[in-house]
Amino acid sequence: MITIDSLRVREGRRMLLDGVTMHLPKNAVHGVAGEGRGALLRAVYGELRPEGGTISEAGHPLQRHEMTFLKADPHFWPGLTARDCIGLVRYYDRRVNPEALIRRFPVPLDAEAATLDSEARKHLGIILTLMRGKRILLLDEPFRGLAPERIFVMQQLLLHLGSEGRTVLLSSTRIPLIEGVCDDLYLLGGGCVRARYEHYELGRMTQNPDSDEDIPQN
Amino acid sequence: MSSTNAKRIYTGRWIRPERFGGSPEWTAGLRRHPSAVWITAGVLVLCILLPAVGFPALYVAAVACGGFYHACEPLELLRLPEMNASRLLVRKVLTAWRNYFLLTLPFTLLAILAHPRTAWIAAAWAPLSALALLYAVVAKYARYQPDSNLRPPLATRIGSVGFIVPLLLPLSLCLTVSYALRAERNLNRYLHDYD
Repeated sequence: MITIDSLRVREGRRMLLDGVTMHLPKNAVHGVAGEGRGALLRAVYGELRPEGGTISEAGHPLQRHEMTFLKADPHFWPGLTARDCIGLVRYYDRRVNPEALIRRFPVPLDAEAATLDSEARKHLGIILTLMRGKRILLLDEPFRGLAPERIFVMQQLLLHLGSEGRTVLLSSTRIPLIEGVCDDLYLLGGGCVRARYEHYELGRMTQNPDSDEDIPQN
Repeated sequence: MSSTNAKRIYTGRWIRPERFGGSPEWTAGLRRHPSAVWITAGVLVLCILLPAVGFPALYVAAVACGGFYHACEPLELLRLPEMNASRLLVRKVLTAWRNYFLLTLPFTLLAILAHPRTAWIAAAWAPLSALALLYAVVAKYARYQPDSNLRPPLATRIGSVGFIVPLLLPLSLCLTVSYALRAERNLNRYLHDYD
């Protein structure tokens, strides 16, 4: 169980999260929607330093080396090709094999990663995130920028990841896309958790076509 | 799938991260400046033909290679080796030395064969080049912020000049020690989980 307890995150003068508490069982796909979802994932990954609160697993601080993070709009270091980025991951972990992921999310391997269009950058980000076989996956807007057929592939992958023992924490503004994928959904707003829905409650949310509009955006 | 305003880089497979000890700095640096690499190689060959100029030219090339360490990489790239701050710093420095000395090996041999009487200069060239690269690495990580491409502060730039202007060399050496300590502290913020 990953426990986020009274997490407070401030960026400049703006309070992004103010007392967020979540209990995330292992081996499941957890969704986060609403204002501050990106900040939550960045704080869990260690990119944002929390002002207060704890992020722990079984009573111990959560170890960052057990997780990877997919940014909503991945960007890469100028000068490296997509093949270089994949090669760097493989250099440090010889066991990983990206072939299956490259087939599902095609990228021009010999083009500079930083100058790819947004869809190809997203594909490369997904490949680099998922190929490493980490236990905890933080995915910020994994469906944003994907073509409809790739969204379906991503949904299937998420279901597979959840069932093979990974803990996935994903953020999304499009609830219909994560219905049937997430085991639960946390709705953030005003810096804290406004509501939590089980997977069987998500269907009711999406039946109302205006339900997305109720979710505060970042 | 790449955007039309893409800046041209060398995309050949001769340059691979595996060949440069898994160093994104050297891979990206060589890809971004392919013409500079060829021009440098040509100039080095010309310098080596002149007595007592080859090794100083190689030393200037080492200082120029320090330029690969100006921009800060994204956090994902920093965490890729899964090492703590001190081990990562040691690895980065050793990789920089490895890449530089391997790339300059043919020129070194050529300089020694062309002018055996001035080969003793290599005894000064090797440690000074190693120091210049050490300085470039620790200066980068002393001010490391994920993904930032900020201009180095004035002190850092003066320190870099110190490796060319002998008068400023003591300052550069002091800054190297200071930056090495600061780099470890700074990287600990991002890599403390790997202890």
